[in-house]
Amino acid sequence: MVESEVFRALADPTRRAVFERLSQREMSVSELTSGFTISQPAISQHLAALKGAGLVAERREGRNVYYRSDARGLDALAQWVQRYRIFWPGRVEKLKRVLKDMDK
Amino acid sequence: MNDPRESDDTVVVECDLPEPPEQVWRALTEPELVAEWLTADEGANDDTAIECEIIEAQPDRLVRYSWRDVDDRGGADDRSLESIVTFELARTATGGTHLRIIHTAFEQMPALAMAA
Repeated sequence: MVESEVFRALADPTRRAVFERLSQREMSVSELTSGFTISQPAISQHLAALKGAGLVAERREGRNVYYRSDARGLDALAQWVQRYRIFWPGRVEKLKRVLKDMDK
Repeated sequence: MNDPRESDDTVVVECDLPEPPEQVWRALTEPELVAEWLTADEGANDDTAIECEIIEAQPDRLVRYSWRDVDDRGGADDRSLESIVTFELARTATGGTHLRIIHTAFEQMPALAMAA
């Protein structure tokens, strides 16, 4: 999973809402669309982008297609958060030293 | 005002500093001072470069940066991740600064996108 693809896909607020909705349960496009104020083609575009990033999986059943979130896509996000949980406390320590030097 | 918390896409770090907000503000916004504490230590095993740019500034109170990790291994733009870092400064009772760093991967989701 390429981290930046996941980020790009989720950076759009509507797309993110689609992803979160599909985290609750599997849905068809029409079912999904009923929860939003945007059109079905727009929803389909968002779904395509999410699928491309590996964040959404589809299941075909006859003529129907059902979508659900693929939680593995979130691993990249978890790694990003973990990196900055370590990064910031370290930088704060350096900032404290810089502030002390400014006093002199 | 919204109150961002730690979550699956946000890192929050807080600390109290003895220096006043005016001084902390300088350390957070003057490029040569920022470079002193924000850049990686020499020889550190850090393969990520950072590009950041001020997108909002309220002197001595708040500064917000757009933040981009540039992965040296990939080089090209498509390896970069964009996020937002907000530094909030508040004067403490003793004249120091309470600093709050909020780093979030995404902007807040607008409620309007959802009908229900």
